[in-house]
Amino acid sequence: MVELLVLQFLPLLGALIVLLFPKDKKETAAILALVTALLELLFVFLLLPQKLTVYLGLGLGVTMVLSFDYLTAIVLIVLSFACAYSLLYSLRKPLEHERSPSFYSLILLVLFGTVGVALARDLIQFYVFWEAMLIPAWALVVNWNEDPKKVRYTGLKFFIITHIGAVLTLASILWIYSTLGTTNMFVLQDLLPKLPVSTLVWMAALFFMAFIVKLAIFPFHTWLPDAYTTSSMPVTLVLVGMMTSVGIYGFARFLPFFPREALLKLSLPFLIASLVNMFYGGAMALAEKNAKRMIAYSSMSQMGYVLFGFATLVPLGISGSVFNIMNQAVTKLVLFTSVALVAESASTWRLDELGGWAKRHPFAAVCASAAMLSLLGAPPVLGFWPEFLTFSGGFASSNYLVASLALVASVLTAAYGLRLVRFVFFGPLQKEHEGSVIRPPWNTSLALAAGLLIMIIFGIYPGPAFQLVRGALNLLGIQVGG
Amino acid sequence: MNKEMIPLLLLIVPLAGAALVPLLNFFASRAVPLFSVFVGLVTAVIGFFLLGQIGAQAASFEWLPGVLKTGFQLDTLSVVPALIATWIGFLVLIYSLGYMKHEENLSRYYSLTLLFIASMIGMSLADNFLSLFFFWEVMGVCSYALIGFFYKDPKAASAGVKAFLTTRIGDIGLLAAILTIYAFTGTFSISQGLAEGSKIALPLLNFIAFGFILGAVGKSAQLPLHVWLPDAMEAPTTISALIHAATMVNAGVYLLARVYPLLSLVPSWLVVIQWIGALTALLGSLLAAFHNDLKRILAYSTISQLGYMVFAVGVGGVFASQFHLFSHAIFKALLFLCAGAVIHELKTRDIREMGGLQKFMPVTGTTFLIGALALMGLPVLNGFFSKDMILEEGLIAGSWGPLIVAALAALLTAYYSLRTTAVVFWGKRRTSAHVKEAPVVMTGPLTLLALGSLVSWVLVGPLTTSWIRTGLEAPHIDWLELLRETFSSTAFLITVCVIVLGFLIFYYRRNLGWLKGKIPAFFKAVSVGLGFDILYGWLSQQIYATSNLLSTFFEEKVMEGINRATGEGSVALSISSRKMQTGDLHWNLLYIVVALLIILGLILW
Repeated sequence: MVELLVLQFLPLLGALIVLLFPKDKKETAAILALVTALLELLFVFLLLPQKLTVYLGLGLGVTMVLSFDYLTAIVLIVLSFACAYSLLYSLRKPLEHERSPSFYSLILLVLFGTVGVALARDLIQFYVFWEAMLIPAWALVVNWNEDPKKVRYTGLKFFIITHIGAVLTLASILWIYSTLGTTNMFVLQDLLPKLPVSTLVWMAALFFMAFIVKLAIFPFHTWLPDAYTTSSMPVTLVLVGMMTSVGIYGFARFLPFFPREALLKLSLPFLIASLVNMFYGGAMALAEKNAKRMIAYSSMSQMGYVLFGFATLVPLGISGSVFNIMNQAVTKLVLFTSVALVAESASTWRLDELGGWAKRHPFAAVCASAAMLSLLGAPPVLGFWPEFLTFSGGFASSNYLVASLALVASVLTAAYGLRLVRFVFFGPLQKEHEGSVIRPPWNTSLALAAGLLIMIIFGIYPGPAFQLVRGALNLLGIQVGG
Repeated sequence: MNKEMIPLLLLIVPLAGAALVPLLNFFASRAVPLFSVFVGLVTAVIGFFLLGQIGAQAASFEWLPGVLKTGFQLDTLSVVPALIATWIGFLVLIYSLGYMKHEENLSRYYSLTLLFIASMIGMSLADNFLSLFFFWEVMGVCSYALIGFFYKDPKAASAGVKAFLTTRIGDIGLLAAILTIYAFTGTFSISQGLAEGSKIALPLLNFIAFGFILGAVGKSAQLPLHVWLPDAMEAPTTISALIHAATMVNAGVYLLARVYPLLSLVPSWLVVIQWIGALTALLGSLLAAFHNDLKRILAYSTISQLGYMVFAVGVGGVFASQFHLFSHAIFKALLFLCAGAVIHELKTRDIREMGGLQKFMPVTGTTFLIGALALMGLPVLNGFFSKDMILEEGLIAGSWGPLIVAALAALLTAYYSLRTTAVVFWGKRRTSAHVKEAPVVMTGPLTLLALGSLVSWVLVGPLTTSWIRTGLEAPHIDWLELLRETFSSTAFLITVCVIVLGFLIFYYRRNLGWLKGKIPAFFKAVSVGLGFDILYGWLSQQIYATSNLLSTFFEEKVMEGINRATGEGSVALSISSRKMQTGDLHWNLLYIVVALLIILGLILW
């Protein structure tokens, strides 16, 4: 019982302590925040083999239900890793005057909210944490933004669009509550199949809206490019590594929650939406002249693959998407960070002003290439396995046409991925950058090295990671493979 | 040592080498080349032990729990490409000691080369389609990275991208085929998949065959996806020799041979394969005959020779295709490495600036001649026997159309082999550069490969003996019988005719100069590679343009417009509705009464 409470409230505690630090002690605050995230990560690993559930009465008839299973463990590992990664990345910025203890506190609050989402087994509780995670994220986007002209608009867009998704989910939750009289997911698991399929289809469709928006599925994607691009890098990393993972987790958690008959009706619309995302996001990324925005759109296009895997409704496809919780986070973190390293040295994100940086930043070039390969699903890096599983889900569910189109979209992914690396790292270096000696800061290199190792080790030997994915799905009643 | 572990060891040694090279680079960067050669040597030695394992069972283990159990398939079909990779890879590594001596970033070069060797071994020995695809893709990645090795050169950078994207088109076909088989049989195992293939319904079988062919066409640079290979010549010449001549480009042919039992269920696709192969052979030899860039000539020649192999699979001569693959790997690696030695000295790839080099580079010149003669198929070099076998298979199958095209290509091959040798090594010097023979680390591998080109066909005996295990038909002959059969075959006549004709064209080539004025359109088309690049360039421009239009118009105007309109609409709505809050009692009363009336109406209705 205590374990789960520690898991849930450690980030909150960390956030409070960090907040109490005076402004001139921000380095200590940063390190403390990092330690909190790492402790959380360690704690998840310690808890890993177990399966725990805790009921926590809060008075007024409100009961919190916290539960820890493999799926939660996967997302918690990714979340605390991404949180630690972002904090590690932002360590070296003590010089920037505006970075205060509240910045680190807010990041920990995002972690608190996302951990709450991952542990919640009560729909209302789930919703509360979902909102609790959006607010600090919004504060981060608005306050640590690099584009003062657009910041209000970006922040508003980010909040309103994500909020619309959340509210639709809330509507579904209330609908479920008013029909079945409970929001406890364990109880609902048995009750839901008794409802007519026609009702369930709409309930599920409404419910998934929060995740659809979070994954930036067309046409609800417009918040993403601006939020990712105008935010300062650590915030972008938080959005990429944490918010997206929670979005994918939402799908993974609630796909087995709703009865299969209802989901079958949603399969085709979701498949089509995912195809649109792949091609639309890919086209946007291909046309983009700004490297950061290009990676942002690539994220959108990748989420098409994630949705695709879920929408196939077959174990292989779903396992691919759950695997993608890990893959997408690591890949995007490394890709953003390595290109950001160059962008900071060159003081520009524009592709036509970059080039030849493999010479100045060889390690970043290696990391970016590996992440790019992972993005387009090429071995021997991590991305190969989820992508292959996703596609095999498409074929296993006999959606030959859709699956073939998704394969074609992967050529588009390759096109913009290769384009990005080529324009940033290959070709001749700009004259003004020739002489300068640039040493990447140690913390960025460390973060990149960690990401690179994960991508390559699990790319060559995905066994342990996939075993966890399999175990997670097994607990949810989905049997992957023989 | 446990014998079951030999194939695993063969895979892991170069893989570990690839991983250790960057680490070694930290401590002792100068030791990197020698260390890599050492790894190559160990791999090559283990390769010898693999020979004894043909037909043996190998250990298997779980790669992706519950989904993929992987192991090794050890038959002649798979062992030959793996051994080509280890041995030619080893020779290329030695050669690199000299050739790459003065380059930067050698750890990247050697690491990727070792990784490539490992993945070629993994690809050919894989006993299931998914491992095959995994290593197939890793090869593509290595090829991309090594083509772009001189990344500062924009040409090299874009050639890498082009190679990756073009082969990627093929790869999705291959993946689609593999996943369709998996969806039906529930296994990635190659042998089971092929055995149960006959149960798959015909439309899907067509789809699968198409996917496999697309994959092979992309990787083996066949029509119409051949465009990446000439551009890939921006890679260091050692890489062109290893990856783009001797090993990776063979993967497509190997794949077709491997899945031949499935392809033979849909004969119409076999006809397509014949035509693809024959036309590619013709196109490659035609373009090779008119090019002046030494490496591109060899690249087109590779395309053309791969066309022969594909053609051979199409007419059912699977063994012939693999036999030619074996010969070609040796003599084409030889030709490329000779070209490398020349380019290394002269710093140019244009053959018009070469000439008369035989005197200064006798070893390189002589070995190049041997390679060129093997390429044109002169008796009794290895290319002669394997090409003859292919033509003979074509005759047996009676597919006259593709066969005539292939024979025409053979004629052009004879011509351009002689032309290239003559322009580069014979005649008078056209450069004043100081030229000297390559060092021993480079000429050593050349000599060995030249020896191989002379005698490798003798191995036909052991190759056919063990071939039976592949489950495919093959003649069971030793080298004496091969000699007898080849010289008494009808195909031998064709070979003689085309070589003589090719020689005559070569001899009287100056007298044929008037042709250029007669058919200028033809020469113009040839000079731009028959326009494939132009077409594909235009297509990709269209994709960019569409993306740009979507981005600048739809995304920025329409989607953002909706956002802004929603925002401004709600502001406007709130401003206008604010007027209702007048605070005037009269108006408030009016609202109350209207509201009450509406409620009343609802109740009554």
